[in-house]
Amino acid sequence: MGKKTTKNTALDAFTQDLRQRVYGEGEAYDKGPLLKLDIADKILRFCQANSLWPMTFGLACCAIEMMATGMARIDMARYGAEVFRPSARQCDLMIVSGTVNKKMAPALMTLYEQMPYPKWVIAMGNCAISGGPFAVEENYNVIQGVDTLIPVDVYVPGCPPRPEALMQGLFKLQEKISGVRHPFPQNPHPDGINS
Amino acid sequence: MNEHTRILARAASSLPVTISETDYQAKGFHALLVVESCHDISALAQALLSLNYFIGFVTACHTEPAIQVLYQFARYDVNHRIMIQCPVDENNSVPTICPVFQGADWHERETRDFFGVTFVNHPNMNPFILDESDRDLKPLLKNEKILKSTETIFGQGDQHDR
Repeated sequence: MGKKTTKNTALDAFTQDLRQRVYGEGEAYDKGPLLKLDIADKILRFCQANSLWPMTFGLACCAIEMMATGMARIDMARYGAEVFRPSARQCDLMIVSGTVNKKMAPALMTLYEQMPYPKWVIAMGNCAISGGPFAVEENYNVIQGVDTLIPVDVYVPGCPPRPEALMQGLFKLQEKISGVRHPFPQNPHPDGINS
Repeated sequence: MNEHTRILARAASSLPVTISETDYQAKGFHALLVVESCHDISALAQALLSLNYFIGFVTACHTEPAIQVLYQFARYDVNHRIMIQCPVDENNSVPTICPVFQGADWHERETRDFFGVTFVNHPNMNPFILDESDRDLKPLLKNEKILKSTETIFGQGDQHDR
């Protein structure tokens, strides 16, 4: 989606400046656990993948689809990701659902920094991935992809993505964390679909 | 002339304001008030307040030779919506109407953000929607190529309804 094809020097300087203020010269990176024991790590990762706590953080229309994903019809809770927390300090998953503009960017960085390790980020929708429809020459306000600010684990394209797409993004993230697609396989109809 | 437009014309008769009736179906407002000098805008706002008008929005339109600040007012008791067109002065500024209509506060700050119009005596003329670093960005100003004259945009011709 137009990424890197449009050069917006004013915004590039802005994002760079913001990153510098938060991270200094380096990059944000996962420091990992203090002690690393292989088997314990595997169990921990398994648990983390099945108990993702996303942040209540909606930025634009994608947030409506994110809410739909959390509601009864789609129900993220089936995969252990139902506890939307209103505090960054209780979350380990940030779903950047929508357009990040210049005024929101510092707040987004603060929220990301407030989340305790280990933490993951899903960039939901074209705006969060690359600026989407705002990746044009005349754009003066929309950050061209949230990955210019914080590290992103999973990209969910769409405008907005359907709840199914966000679920798929969630499975991808679980796969990334634990190494298996469904750490706890679901069995929705034990006696067959017509019973 | 519409009854309410006539009441309005009588109230503003002492001010240098040109009032013309417009087609509500086509334009979305019943009357257009063109203010000659922006220094009369506070007095006009005061007159509107005493006639029970409330403020709809404040915005601007970049035309030659001067930016036109646009105010829209309406009434709750009757269906009467009016548009005020007010050119900025040579310093790109217009007196604020905040002391009369408190609701104009944020609209005026937004207009400053996008067009760089200064509202004189506004209590807090700081960036509202834009980032603090974009204080002088003025993103909605037109470039030379597409800048049109006030006459073309606001002229009486029906082909320029918008």
